[in-house]
Amino acid sequence: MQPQPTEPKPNMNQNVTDATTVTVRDYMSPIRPTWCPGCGDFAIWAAIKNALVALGKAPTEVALCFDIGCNGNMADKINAYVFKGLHGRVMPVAAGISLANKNIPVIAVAGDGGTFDEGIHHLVHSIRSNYNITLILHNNCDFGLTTGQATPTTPKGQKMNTSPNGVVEDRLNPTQFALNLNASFVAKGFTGDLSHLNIMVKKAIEHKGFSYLEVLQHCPTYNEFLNQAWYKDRVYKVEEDKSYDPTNLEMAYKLSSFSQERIPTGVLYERKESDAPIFLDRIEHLKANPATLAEQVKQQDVSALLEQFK
Amino acid sequence: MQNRYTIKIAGAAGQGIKSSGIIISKALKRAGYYTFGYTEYPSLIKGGHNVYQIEVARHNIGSITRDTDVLLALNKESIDIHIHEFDKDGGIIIMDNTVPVSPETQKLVDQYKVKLYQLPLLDLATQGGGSALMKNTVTLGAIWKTLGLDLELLLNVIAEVFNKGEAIVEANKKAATAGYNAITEELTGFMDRLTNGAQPSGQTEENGVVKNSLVISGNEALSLGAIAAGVKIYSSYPMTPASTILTSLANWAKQSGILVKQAEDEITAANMCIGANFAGTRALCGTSGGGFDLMSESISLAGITETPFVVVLGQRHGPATGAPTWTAQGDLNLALHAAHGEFPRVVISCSDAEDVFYLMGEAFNIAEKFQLPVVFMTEKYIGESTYTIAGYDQAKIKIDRGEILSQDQLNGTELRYKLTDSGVSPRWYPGQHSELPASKINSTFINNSDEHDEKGYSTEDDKVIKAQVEKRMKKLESVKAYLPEPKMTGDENPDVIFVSWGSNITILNDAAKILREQGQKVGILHYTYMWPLKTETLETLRGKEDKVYVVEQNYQGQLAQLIKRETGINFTKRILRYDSKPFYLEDILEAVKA
Repeated sequence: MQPQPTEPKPNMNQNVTDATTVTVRDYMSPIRPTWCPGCGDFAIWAAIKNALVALGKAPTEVALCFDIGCNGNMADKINAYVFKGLHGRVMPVAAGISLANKNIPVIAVAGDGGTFDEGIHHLVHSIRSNYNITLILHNNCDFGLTTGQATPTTPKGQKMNTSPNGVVEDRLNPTQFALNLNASFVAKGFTGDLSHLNIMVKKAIEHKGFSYLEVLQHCPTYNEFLNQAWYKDRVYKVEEDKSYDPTNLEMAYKLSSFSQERIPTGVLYERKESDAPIFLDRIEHLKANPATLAEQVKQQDVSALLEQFK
Repeated sequence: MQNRYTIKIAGAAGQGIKSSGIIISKALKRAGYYTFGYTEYPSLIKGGHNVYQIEVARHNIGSITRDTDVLLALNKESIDIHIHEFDKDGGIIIMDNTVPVSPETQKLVDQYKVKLYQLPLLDLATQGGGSALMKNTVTLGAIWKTLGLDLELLLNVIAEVFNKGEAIVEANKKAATAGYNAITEELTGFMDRLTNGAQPSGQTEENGVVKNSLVISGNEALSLGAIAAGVKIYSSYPMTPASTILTSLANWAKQSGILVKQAEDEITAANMCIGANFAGTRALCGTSGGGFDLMSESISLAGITETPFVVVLGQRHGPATGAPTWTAQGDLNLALHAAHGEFPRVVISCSDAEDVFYLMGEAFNIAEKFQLPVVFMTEKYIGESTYTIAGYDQAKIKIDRGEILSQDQLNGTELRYKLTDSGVSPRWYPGQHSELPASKINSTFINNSDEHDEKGYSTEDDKVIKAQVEKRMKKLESVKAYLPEPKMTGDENPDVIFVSWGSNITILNDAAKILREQGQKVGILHYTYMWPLKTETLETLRGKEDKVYVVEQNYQGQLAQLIKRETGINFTKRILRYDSKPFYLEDILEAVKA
């Protein structure tokens, strides 16, 4: 049975001083979830709310962006400023919001299909640009909403709707993909461990820069091949190994290989802000300006620029 | 041609042709002349045949002609191609003396009585201490002498452009002077022809305007218009002829405090702008036809989410890759119809480097007032040609962001997609709430690409969907009432009426001037706001169809088709060009005569 949304655990609030007024109730929408019983999306839904509460953010102090897919059906099941866009396009929308208003956390929620099929280049360039946004990637290794087709993360040979004789394409390793691009934050969570997932979402939002958080989840309707029990047998938390060094890119890459018997979760890799400044801070004249680009819209005198044409 | 001169600089890409063209144009402006600078170049970086054509007149012009009076031929190909443009006899050609002239071309030079200067450009460049690179500067001096104008004016512009230390400035000035002195003969009657017989006084009001004015391209003017209108983000993927907007804004980003993002593709550029506009800034994106195709779904997204969105569609000859560095007006139907589903949009077409400056701000005002996508059309001809502009009245720019709820007005009960009479619902931005606890929790909304209710919650309820479709489509009527009628200019009871859009207006204005001198009465109905189509002024032409020519740079007559669809008025006389080249002034004159 999947975990259902819960109030945050007290220990999550320990280092947050202004969180007292915000509760999970504030994030409740009158619209009830439509996911299949046992869907991993319930846990991700809960974790996003829990993490924002732990961060002391009110629903009007964040922007949540959704792709199209089962993940996107969360868009109106959570009370917040929400942008539900087009399939595969969640990252440029989130980037645009973050560039216009650098003062609010911007979270992009997407699935493995939209992220690694139609929108894969957006991931590549969002990582390169290091926009200050958080990607929460629902990885259930299939297209759920369109009734169970293969995605790039579906294992080769797996029989799927539209692949009746088994997927013939090689499987893409999403974690290694993100690590290969030297993303400034790469973490993994598992929907079977909500309290850990709460922490991962919170850490991903807190990281300044592009945060890649891949959430391993079961699709109870179309993916029985990588089910909850399969993951439970394999996942472990890297932070439990005190010697684990999240600045070691090669180690993170090696542990993320499909050939490993076990699957690492936790913060696999993180770069310091000084090594990986966010996009807006890479542009000197914007870094220096405390006002957001949304606040700066006003008529501007271009007389000085006109001089060159005289 | 009567009342104007044509100077052409021709050679291979990478020979500094455009820079030379702009220096001459600026110096001419300061001498009291209007210029129109038109560039032709193939899609390659080095080599090929590039031309910068400068039309010179004593009055405002915006068209090109077929004749050439002064040619700077930087390679053999250039003289071979352009010698035929001297068939009206006379004129001057300047070349490097190391470039051979074929016997066939020499025969035509003699036949057309062209004065051919084969100058030792390298010697002239280096004799004053300059480098071989300054051969171009020598040619500037040479061209200038053919016009018989004050050398100081040219030297001043050269000093400003090559402002890389005193030594370089001095060497360039010497090179220009050497070129100037190498020409012994001026163009016959330069002054006479341009003043229609009268010598310029140098102090007339018209001259005054030219002296204080700007030599600026359409894309530069568009970029400045965007900055002036408070645009804070420009996101784009390079594509001719929109690339020079990206270049200009990137160069001015620091000075103007804007963010310029070269995106990974046009889909990104569009979605990034929509996200940024949702968050409360003014973000612009620009592209050409192929990139615009990629943005189709984004335009639909802006439509249903009612997010203000302005996209520049810089037209070039298509389909597909087409003729990428050449011009066209083939994308009106694309601008009108791109993207799935039904939603209101506005299509604006600029005309030249003057109106584009103001229209940029207007495009954002419309996008924000009516919360819809605005397709802002320009053309290679407008974007990359240089116009002489009297300057811009920045006081005319007004920022109107439409119905915005301020942070303090929020109370948690507001509905982002509230049903209203105008179809426009007040908007506010993510991150905003008032001090009221209810606002802090509930002033949220879903900017939803799904059909949605007034709050933004997704819905499949037919009644709710119908109400929201009708609300959105109401905005088409609201915006139509807001838009101005197209401008009807010219004579009372005209014999000839041109109906047109885009760059054609400056060409038609030039043609009308000549037609009037020939005794014809000319009227021009010019469309800037293409959609929703205003038809009141158009109705005055009903019954006068036989006098009307619809002028367009496409095959189908897309504006004529639109007019027929909207009004039933069928203008069958068309002046069309669809070979990737712009109209020459002669094209219009000949079409009317025929």
